[in-house]
Amino acid sequence: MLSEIGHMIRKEITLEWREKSAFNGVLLYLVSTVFVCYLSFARLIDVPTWNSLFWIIMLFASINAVLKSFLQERDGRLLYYYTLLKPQSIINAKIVYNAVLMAALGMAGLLVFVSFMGNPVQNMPLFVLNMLLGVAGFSSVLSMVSAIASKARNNFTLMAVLSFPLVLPLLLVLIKVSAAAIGGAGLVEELPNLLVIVLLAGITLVLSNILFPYIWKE
Amino acid sequence: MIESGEKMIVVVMVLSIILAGIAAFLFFLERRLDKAEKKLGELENQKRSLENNDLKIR
Amino acid sequence: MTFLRNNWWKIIGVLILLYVIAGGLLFEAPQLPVIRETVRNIYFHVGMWFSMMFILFMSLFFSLRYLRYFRPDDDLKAATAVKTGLVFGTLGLLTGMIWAQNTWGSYWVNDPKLNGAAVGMLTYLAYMVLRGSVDEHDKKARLAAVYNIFAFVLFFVFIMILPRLSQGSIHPGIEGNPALSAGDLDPRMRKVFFPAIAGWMIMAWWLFRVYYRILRLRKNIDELNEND
Repeated sequence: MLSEIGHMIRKEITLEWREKSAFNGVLLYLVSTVFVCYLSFARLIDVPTWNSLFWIIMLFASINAVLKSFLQERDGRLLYYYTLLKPQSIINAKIVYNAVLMAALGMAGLLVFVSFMGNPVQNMPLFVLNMLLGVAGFSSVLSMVSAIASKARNNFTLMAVLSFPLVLPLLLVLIKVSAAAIGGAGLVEELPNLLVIVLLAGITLVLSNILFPYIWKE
Repeated sequence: MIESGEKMIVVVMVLSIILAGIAAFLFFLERRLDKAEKKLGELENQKRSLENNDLKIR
Repeated sequence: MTFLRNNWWKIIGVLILLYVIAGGLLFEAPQLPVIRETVRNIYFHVGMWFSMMFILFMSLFFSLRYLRYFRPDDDLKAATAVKTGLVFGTLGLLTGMIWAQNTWGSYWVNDPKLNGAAVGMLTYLAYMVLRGSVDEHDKKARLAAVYNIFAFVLFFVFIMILPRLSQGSIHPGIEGNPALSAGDLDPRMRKVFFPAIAGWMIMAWWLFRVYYRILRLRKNIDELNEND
């Protein structure tokens, strides 16, 4: 199965590299959102707001990015996969690919955010680590929910409605750790929280593997 | 018993009446459901026997 | 009589709750600091949440069974259980908010336990939205079942584990069990509290059964008319 996953990931990356539609689209979304924030907030911003704003923007961008990756498959191609691969390979590949995509977007987003809104972060390595773990967690939850939402009508609205409650716990822990990183806390103190993030990502990964086979055939 | 006395007894009575009302309503609904389910069963049987008759005639 | 044979448990539930209402409000209650008389709320509020968890767990069970045998009945049971669960969740929130106003001075606070409750409600409301967004029965049932399982696990993680890991909670009862702590097991309260839980769970199950029968009847009638 690992080689199947590897192939799927390579295929996604190749497709994306050719057109860069999802990456550019979400990047533009990020820049626009940050710019709006800059215009409305810049003089009023304090640290907790900076932190929360960053994560809210990341969340919306992630939801967009992951849903796009599921919607852009044409029906014929999906049937083709079903004859070749195990369902777990598909969902695992999607999760890994989305995590990588969002890590790239996250770094880009962070850069944009910092350029417009300033950089109050004291412990940057911890902040970045937290963000990378966070997007991996997002990817895990959002990929599965996208798989569900892509089969129904009202995709985008439904995606948001379904994913917000499920992603909220993860989001709260992420905000906490990044607030600590901004304040200069060290990796060791925040380790328990980081482990919680990994735990959440792990649980959703396992669940996705178990449940995806039931919905992939539509 | 506590000394808040009469007021509390009134509250208890009101709540009990509400609860009893809900219970009575649920029992009433269940009785209607029993009847409706029986009627539906009969209708389905009727339909089935009608269909069987059609097949036999043919 | 057959009536008693089928419905004895409902009668017991009602009788228990009548006892709980009378005893809960009239018996003596331990005078804990700050909380004092409002501690009586737990006979109602905790009952609502326990019942909601129980009904949502049953919903999970029905969803799992649906994915195993693909019987439409199981899907209907799962959906009905979610709706019933939402009713009790709402009641739980209301009783909680009334208590909060009287104890902490505001209807809501930023607390992990409360946020967990809100997230739970949002999750299951989202379940209903998902069901509304799909037209074909099979697809709806399958997507709903998968989401239900996914959501329940995450919900469970959220309310059980996260409040203990992160900062403490001002919501009573974190030392072990989410609902009970040292003060509440006072024997004066125990004799009302445990029957209360049982009584509310019985009512929840009864409500679920009636609701399910109504929806099943409606579905059967529709099918009967369709085939004509």
